Amino acid sequence: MSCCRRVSKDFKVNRLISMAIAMRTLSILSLLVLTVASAATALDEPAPTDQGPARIELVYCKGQSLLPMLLATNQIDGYVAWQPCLAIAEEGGIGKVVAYSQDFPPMGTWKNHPCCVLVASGPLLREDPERVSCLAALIMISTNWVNDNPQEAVEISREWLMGDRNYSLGSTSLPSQQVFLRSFSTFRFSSQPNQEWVRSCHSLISSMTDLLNTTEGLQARRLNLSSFYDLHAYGRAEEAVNKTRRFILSPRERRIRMGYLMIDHQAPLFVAIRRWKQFQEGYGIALRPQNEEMKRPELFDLLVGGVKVAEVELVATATGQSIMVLMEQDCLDMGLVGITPALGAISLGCDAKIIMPMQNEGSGLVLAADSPARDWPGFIELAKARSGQGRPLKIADPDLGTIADVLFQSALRESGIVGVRAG
Amino acid sequence: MASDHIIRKLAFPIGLLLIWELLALVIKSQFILPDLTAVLGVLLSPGSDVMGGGSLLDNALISLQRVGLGFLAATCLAVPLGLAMGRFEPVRDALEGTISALRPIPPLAWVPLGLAWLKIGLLSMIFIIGLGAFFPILLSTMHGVQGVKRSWLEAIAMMGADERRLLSRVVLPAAAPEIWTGMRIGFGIAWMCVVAAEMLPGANSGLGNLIMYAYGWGQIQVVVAGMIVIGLIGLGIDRLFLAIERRWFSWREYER
Amino acid sequence: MMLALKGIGKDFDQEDGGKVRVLDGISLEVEDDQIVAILGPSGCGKTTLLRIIAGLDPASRGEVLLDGLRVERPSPRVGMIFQEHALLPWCSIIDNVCIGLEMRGVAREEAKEKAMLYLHMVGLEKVPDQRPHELSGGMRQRASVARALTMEPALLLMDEPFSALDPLTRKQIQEDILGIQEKAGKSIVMVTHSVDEALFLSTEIVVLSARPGRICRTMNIDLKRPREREGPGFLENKKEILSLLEGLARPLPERG
Repeated sequence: MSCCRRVSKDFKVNRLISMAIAMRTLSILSLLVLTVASAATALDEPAPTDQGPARIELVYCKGQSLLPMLLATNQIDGYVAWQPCLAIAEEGGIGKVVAYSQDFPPMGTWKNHPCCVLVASGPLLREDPERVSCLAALIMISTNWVNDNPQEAVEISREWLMGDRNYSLGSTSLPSQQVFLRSFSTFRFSSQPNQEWVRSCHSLISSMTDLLNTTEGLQARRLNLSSFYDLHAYGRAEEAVNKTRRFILSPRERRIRMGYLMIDHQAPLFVAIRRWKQFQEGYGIALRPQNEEMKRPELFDLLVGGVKVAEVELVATATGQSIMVLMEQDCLDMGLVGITPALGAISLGCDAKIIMPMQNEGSGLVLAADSPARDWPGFIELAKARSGQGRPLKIADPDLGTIADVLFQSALRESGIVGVRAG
Repeated sequence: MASDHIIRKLAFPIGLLLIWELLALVIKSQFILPDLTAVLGVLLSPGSDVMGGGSLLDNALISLQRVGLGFLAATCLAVPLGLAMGRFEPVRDALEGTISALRPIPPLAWVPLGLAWLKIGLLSMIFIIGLGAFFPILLSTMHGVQGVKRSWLEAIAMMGADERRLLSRVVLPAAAPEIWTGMRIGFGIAWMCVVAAEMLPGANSGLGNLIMYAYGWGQIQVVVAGMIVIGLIGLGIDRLFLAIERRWFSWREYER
Repeated sequence: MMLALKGIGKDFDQEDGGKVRVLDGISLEVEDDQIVAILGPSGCGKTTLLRIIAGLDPASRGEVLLDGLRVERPSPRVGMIFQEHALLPWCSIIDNVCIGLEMRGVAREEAKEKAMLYLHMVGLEKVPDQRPHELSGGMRQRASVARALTMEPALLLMDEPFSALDPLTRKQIQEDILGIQEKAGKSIVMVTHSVDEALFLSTEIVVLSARPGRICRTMNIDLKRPREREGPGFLENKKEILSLLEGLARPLPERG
């Protein structure tokens, strides 16, 4: 038996007093905790300034999944993201797109800017450039098909990505059909590395250099800007597609592991899989699933002229960065990634090259539906006003270094706003 | 001999470092095992920015700030509650079941709720970290209070001490060593929580965040350097707790 | 000072729901400057009786009056020295001795002065800043005597205070206690297993019977002080008490 029983049993009056003391102590300490908590919240908020350039707060969210919810619950004033996240906000009525990425300042710089690209690892390019060209040709064919059959492409993408499900925003259900239709109409598919595209790449590289302090990497390796991409495979693919030259493939089979992202920007890939029979008949290149029964097959036979030339393994990952890292670690050979992860990784020494464009544009800035701003200049005005009041705008961002982030931040700089990291 | 002692303590770590360097040479890939010099390079310039993600030093300070506040909040709640539960059986009976049920839930499982209730920011972090530290401190306090020697309580009661005096003069000092141990363990858990919580959505800074960010760019040497820093900080603070324990609570040994 | 026990009885609850009667109808009076020793076979309730006088446990029947006031809870009017010294191990000796006065509100300097006085009396004036674990067993018991005396209680209770000490130290401290008692003029009620000790120190010996404890015999000890432990009067009394205790230890004959 503990002493408390023995000693305090007789202290009936003292018991009440001690309970009262306990209550008092607890309330004092709860006050202390609340003080700590409010100090914490105060520390969280950046100090209001009236001088200096206008600021907005950037909230990085490690991915797009939280963004619509944050906007819907008014924790943020808006977000930058890529499709279909923008379409979700519009479809759900919680936000409106005030500017698409191609319209970000400086005006005209980002027209047709690259978004998703095909990359291949250095070792694979050196060992087996023909097979790389095969896959590039397939993607090229598929990209053209998507441009010719947009409605079907939407449906195939939707089915691959969502199956029977719809998007949900809290308790509201958004039919995925609508979301994808909206989303598709805002970007373009193209496998042509034309002048505009190349220029955009260069602009991106210098923006990233500024933002991410990768200058050291660039300088240390004395990288030529053109050493980021290798368009040889593109050339071969074009020839094969135009039937001006055939593929010359070594007989040895190999396995090619390719990473991709579960976003509708990568529709050409899903189309190539679902319509493999059509491509087989029409173009002689196809990606045949080894197990047709699976909802999302992972292993494929790459068929060229009816002959299996490679086994392709598709790996879905969460971010473009993971694909680049996995390539560096020799776990993947090719990938469909965002342009900025590719540029960043290559500049830091990753042995890989950008082979071919696939999809351009498709990011933007969403603000709350009732926000007074309607376009980029309006947004800047709002940002300046709010910053002056000491309540800077809170804009969420999927991750530092994504295409949406790089474009947004360089546009902010261009407009004289400083993005400050929150938290 | 003192030098013998030092050799024994350092032999294993140095051996590990040598093996590391050898393996790195064999593996020859910076992305699988960065070599020692690369990692040292990062460690020796802790103030330089990592790809826009902040410097090692800045992020370490942010993580420390978070863990400090969370730990403080946990202590402020757990010690008085533990006191009450240890001293008054009705309180213990009322709360013990609920606490035992909540304890096994890992603090990180609370992240979604924490974000939903407290929004992204320092407060939700403090909540998670506080949860991690709360239970060890609570249980140690309760245990320490229950283990206070009856004869001490009676001796001081004989001098006319009321419940309040008994608490402040006997119960708290007697339970203090065990409370301190609970706090030390609690801090260790809180430190692990902070790093893990920073890897999840909702945090934009801190060592955990830096590690994930560096990994995204394939900068594994930063990842390893970050891990080393995390380990060293955890070690340092643990040693601090132990040093204070040696200084204040050495009397405990003689009471066993 | 006048301690009066009127018909003290004590029952303890057993596990199977019944009650066991440990003390029955204890009536006793103790006046100034007396040393009363309570002897009896094991389990007869000596310690329980002492704790009731101290106010640590309530009596089931009867009452304890100190100078006409009922004793219901521990108070500084009565000082107690426990079998295990019960000094607070995290406090120095002087802090231990001062604690009662400080709780009363006496200023630190004044309290320390008074404490040093009593430490002097028990011969510990040289070690005020040491911790209990740094002292020998005998010194610790002396310190607890000083602690009790500092409160200047009307009555001192001692529960087998010297049983944990070696014979030589025990003898020495018995002599010291005698000296202190003469100087301070306090009354002492002590529980002991040692007949020698009881005879050496006390003015009155109370022998309790086996459970339930009843007063079997009270003896006035008129021997002159300092008492010779081998002297004729001493040995005579000792023989008488020992045979009494032996008789009590044997089971009671069946009632016919």
